Amino acid sequence: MYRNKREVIKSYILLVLIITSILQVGILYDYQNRGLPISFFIQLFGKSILAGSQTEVLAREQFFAPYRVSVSNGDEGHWLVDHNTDSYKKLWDEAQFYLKSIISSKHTGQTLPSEEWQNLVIKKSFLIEFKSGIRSELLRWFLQVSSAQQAEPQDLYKLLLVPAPDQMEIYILDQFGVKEYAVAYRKGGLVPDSYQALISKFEQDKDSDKKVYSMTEELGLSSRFPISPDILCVVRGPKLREYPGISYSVPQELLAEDVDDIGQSILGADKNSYDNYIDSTGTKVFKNLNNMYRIYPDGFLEYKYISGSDSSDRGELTAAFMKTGAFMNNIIKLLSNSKARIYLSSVEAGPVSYRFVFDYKVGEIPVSLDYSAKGKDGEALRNAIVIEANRQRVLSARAMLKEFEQTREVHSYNVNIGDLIKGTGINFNDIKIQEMGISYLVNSDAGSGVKPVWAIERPGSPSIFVQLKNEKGE
Amino acid sequence: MAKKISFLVLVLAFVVTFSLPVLAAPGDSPVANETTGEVADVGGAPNAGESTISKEPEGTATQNPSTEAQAAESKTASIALDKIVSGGSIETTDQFLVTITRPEGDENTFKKSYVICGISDEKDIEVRLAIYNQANGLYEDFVTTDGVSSWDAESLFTKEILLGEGANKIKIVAYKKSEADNLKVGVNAQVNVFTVTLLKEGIKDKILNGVLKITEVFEGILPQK
Repeated sequence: MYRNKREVIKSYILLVLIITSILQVGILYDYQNRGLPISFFIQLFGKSILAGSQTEVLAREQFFAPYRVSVSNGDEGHWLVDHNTDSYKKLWDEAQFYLKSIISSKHTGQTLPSEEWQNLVIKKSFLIEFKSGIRSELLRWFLQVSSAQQAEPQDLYKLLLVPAPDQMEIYILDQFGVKEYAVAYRKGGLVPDSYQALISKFEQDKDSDKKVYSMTEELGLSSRFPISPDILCVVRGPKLREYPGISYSVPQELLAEDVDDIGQSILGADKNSYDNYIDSTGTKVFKNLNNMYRIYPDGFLEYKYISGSDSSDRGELTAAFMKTGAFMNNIIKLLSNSKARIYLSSVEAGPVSYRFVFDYKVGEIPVSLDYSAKGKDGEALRNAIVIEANRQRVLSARAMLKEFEQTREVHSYNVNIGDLIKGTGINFNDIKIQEMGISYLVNSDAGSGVKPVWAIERPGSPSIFVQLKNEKGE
Repeated sequence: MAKKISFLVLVLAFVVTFSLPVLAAPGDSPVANETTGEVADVGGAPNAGESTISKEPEGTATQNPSTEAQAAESKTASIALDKIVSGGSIETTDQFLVTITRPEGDENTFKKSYVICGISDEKDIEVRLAIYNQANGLYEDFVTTDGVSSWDAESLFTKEILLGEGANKIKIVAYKKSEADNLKVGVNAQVNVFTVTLLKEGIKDKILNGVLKITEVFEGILPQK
């Protein structure tokens, strides 16, 4: 009997050891969310954390989109294609098809010198632009192409579709120059007449002259000065064009009085594993052994992985992007009431991590941030969201969270490029101009009736912002 | 006989009377500049090719001598500039004041709307635009679509014009405003001439279709009467 009792006690001890072993394995498996062991089980059954495949789908849909799509009639007429239109969806769909054809087949493109780009963009064509180059491995991931081909573009920056009578001529601008491809027209897709019809739609629009642009190449500027040849500018037709204003504010979820409510918005079910407090400046701090979030009263969010130095290498870009995508999902939920969309602005590879930069766009107008010093490090903030991540985790994030909406008031502004440049003191010999265009400037806690400005982007230097003048010249 | 003599005298008087305005001497009554309205002295009979000037406005009482001198200088400067702008035989220069990025040279186009573009690194530069009038062999002010034929060239300028069919011989004059009273072509006044030819749409289609006759090319280039 005494032996039986001993065996029973041993069985109970063994059972407890097995359970604690399983818990320890669970903790080790998911040690990013160290806290109560039950969080491991919550993740298995909880609905707030997305399954990997869902994250992939969302990341592709949300972030694989052009920065801008424009149409050229080959006769000094260029028009922007609104992302909410059927024309945009058709063109982007076609572009993805041709891109996939190029990188998944054995097409060997012909390499042309970079200077050839300026002659190509003024042809009758459709230009799909990204804010900066998309690296080939990320492009393959976006397009769900598994194998790499020798001829694939290394860094997709801009894509030009030039419909020819028998095939589509495709030109890709990447960091090495211009690559030319020829692909048969897609079966069931747009044909040359359809592309011409798209162009005619813009030419014959009743407000065509109020929406038409010229390119810097057509003005002879890019051949004489260090200015990109494909910058759209207003030189013809009415100088005054209408733009709405915007208002922006801190998301309501971040203004909750109860810190727990803010924690719920940012951390979801994991909030219980964090300690939280409000510091002397009103900043809400959420901290556990590995992670720290700071949410400032103006909507600035700072995240750091604080568990010592992360010795893991940066790993594959796509793995790091998946981690970033999961992090971004929570941010996007916070900004669900905002009328601005978030787009992937740039991807840079560092020695131990990748840097993903995202920005806002309201309608077709990008939002430029200009904060001189933000957060603990006091670094300038010129992009909406900047995330450093490797294959295992997000290492740090800096995000200015704002909700945007367009105001009903619309004003006319003089956007003739000559009038805009006048008075800026810009010497075209001295500065390199990458891009110019209308933008909304955000540099304060909240703004109402914010008017657009003219932004001049320079590689490696802060942008220059020029005030627009209305019809009265004010 | 008496009738003949009286008739001759009458004819002579007639000729003398109508010749008097033509023979106005220097220092005669002041006349106004039709564009500025300023009152200035005339420096001699107007020559063929110079911009016309109108009568003095009423009520121009005696003025301060320094203002008169300034006005006279301004008038002289204006005439000198008009001469450079309108003159059919003025030599062209390098682009030392303004870099004209468009047009870069003579060109053909099918588009009636044309954009002139240029950049100036210097301050105090004005640009004036003129177009050749074949009828009188002179250049006349060419008004852009925003209603001006001259503008300050500070940094970048872009101006839209509407071309006439055929050859449009365009003159672009850039000069230093502060030295307008002493303009010298090639020193402080830059002159450039370009020919932008507006081709007929029909020719464009025929070129595209590969059907083009030499005569039709010339018909498209030369202005139609």
